[in-house]
Amino acid sequence: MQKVQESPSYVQTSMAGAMSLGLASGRFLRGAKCTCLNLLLVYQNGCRAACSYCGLACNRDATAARTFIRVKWPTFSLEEILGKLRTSQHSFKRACVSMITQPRSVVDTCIIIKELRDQGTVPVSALLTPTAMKPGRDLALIRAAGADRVGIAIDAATEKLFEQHRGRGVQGPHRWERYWETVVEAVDLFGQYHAGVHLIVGLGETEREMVQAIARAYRIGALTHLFSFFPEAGSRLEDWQRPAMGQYRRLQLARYLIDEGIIDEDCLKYDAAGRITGFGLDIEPYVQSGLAFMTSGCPGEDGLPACNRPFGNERASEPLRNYPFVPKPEDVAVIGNQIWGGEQSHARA
Amino acid sequence: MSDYWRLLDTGTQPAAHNMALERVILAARSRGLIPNTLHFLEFTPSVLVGYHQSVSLEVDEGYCLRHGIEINRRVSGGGAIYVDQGVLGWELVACKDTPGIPGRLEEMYRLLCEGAVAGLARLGVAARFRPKNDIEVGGRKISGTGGAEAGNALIYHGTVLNDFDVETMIRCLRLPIAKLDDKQVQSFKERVVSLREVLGSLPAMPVIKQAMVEGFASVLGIRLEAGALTEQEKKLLEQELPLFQSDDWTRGTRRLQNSSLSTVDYKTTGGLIRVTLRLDRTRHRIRYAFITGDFFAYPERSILDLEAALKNTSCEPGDLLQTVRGFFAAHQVRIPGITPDDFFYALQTAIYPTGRGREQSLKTAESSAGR
Amino acid sequence: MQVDKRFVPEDLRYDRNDYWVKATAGEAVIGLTAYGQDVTGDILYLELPPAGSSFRRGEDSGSIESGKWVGRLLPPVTGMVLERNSALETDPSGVNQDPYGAGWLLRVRLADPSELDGLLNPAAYREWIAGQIRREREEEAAL
Repeated sequence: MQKVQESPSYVQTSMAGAMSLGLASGRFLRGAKCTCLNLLLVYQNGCRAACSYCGLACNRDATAARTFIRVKWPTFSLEEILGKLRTSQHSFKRACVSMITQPRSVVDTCIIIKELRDQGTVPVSALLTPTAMKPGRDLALIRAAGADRVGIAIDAATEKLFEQHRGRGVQGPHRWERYWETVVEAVDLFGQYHAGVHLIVGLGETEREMVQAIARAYRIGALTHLFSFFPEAGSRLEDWQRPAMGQYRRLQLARYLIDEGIIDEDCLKYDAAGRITGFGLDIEPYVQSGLAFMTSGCPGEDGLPACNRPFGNERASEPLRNYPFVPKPEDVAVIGNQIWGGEQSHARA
Repeated sequence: MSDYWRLLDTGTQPAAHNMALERVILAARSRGLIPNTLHFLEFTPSVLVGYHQSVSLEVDEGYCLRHGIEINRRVSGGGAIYVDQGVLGWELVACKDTPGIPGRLEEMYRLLCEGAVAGLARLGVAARFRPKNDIEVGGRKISGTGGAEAGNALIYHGTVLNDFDVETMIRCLRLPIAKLDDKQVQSFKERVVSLREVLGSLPAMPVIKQAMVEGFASVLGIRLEAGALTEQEKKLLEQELPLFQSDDWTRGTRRLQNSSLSTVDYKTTGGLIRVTLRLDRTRHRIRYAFITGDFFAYPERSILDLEAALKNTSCEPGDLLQTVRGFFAAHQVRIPGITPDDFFYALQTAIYPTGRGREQSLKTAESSAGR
Repeated sequence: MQVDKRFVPEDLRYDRNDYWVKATAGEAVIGLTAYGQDVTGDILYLELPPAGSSFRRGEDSGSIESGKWVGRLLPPVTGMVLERNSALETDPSGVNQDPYGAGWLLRVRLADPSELDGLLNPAAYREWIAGQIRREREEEAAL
């Protein structure tokens, strides 16, 4: 009888993480490094939720190969991964344990965090699924297990879209306000800017709506980590388009300026369709430095972003959305042209 | 980096010619007239002072004149050196934004010196990079390096000591050896080493050059193609040579310097420490220190490393104490009967020969270092 | 070093060679920023253009030596030297210790005040430094 490979003894890692551990073959193009080991809980029954855009959704087309954020996530035993962390020359500055919607999630997350912390090498984040958590108590358990930062994947920028893609619209279990409550709790418990919010650009929101979500998070004391929507095979949204590059670039800039405390949301100007037309200052220095277009994620002990999810939004041969390294001058030139690019952003009902 | 660099060998030339050539190649690179270049150069007997140095302070001009030793000045910084047929000069001239060449100077030095180290390794020499810019074998210096820039090009160069004429070097440079007694000269010889001494015999120059080429090629990931000076470079050389042959270039620095040489003996329970210092009092810096004595240091080379660590450092008491203590904290050194602070006191005695100045500085050093 | 390399005073203007400019009515004082002196390192020698000499923005006008490296002084504006900080020529450590104060380099008459518009304001220069520091760290990690 085949052994059931479930958490906490087993976890999935991103393909980038597996490559960096030496557990999968492959090289990153352009010298990129994967500096955060992203781990995902795994259960035979998969995730109980039904989010329209996610490759793990329980109601997805099971004949399509299961991907999560564009790539496969191979499964390994936790022992094997811990062994690799001990012995190999890895580039990780942080590890992250991601919950999925399953009853054992919290307990298993705590066990895995503790194992990682006992190794002692890198700080550990937890990516939370509030739906699977008891208010107050479970966050405290996760902190006690040794996580120093948490992320909450809100993903959708407005309540309406949240309901549509994750809640009642897909008979899914998630609720908007519960997610935001968890963000407030997380900031209280883990500290200012030690909690992060995941938001996905391109689920049907306007640019203004996304800025408002970023600003709301910042006001609470959380930072935003942006993703560009990618149509996962087998998900409900597999036929959707990716958001226009210009839209994504404008939002990367807005996020950077807001999260760095350089502007607040009132500085931005929009057109009738909710597209950003101005930032309230000269953006040239911020385009030149290129930092706004790098992946934003939890930092390592040196304070620099460690979760850089290399090529998580596209193949290396395609235009990069989140740069996992400081953009070179030739990249900056390309980015400069994309910001006010002619493509229109989509606003879906 | 799979670009081709030019490999240029201009052979033995007079100093003025070689110094002018450095500026010419640098300018040509900055203007995009030539590719990145690895350049070999050799010398007739010459003394080369650093860009900001003053010939009269650094060179025994009388001796050089009497012995036909040419005096000239580099485009790069650093101190005065003696070069002759026993020295191979190498230099890398590249565009500042050449991929793979770090922007920060410390990292650039490290990478380019590793190229030279790899070259020496191919000759069977276990050389190592010693920050900030030395290449040493067993603690003894085999190469000095330095650099400069112009426009968007940089030059980084060094010398390999193939065969070493230490006597001539001591005589033509004003070194921190107050009296040229045999013991001092011997100690000085121990700070430098030549290829001949390391290997027991000297490989032919083409062999040395080939090894250096391979070393740089492997560390920098480049390929080299033999080339010659271009017509434009030759023309530029014609234009620049008169300046480099004139006093305007060689003696043109208007440096105000209050530089002094002082030697003191400092007694400790573990033995005598003799310190000779070249001080730049106006800049409050130790130019170099020469530390000898009858103590035993394990490993022996640690004194040479201490001297390297003191080079061009501040002689303010608090800074000096930190430099000395920091060195010993970072290195495994054992000197029976002598503490790190003993070296500090010895250096202080050399910096402040009169008793009063010394007492004052000891107090200030302790208080500012204790912060 | 006394001063934090990220310190950027609000009343100055900057360029990407890490010089600061303080302009008042056709004249300006020029110096190296805190970040600039950090990148340069301990300055051992400095050669500044003499009073009365003219210079162009970005043109080689002097030398700065640190750690056996001779770098060039590239002014952020075009003009004529009214006064150079000659104390620095005997002891350049002032540039490292107090880059915005006693370590000033030149007092100049501006040939073209409109060049000031091309300089970076403090926020833009801060961003420039942030990008440079990130790049340096990436380079270090790659070695």
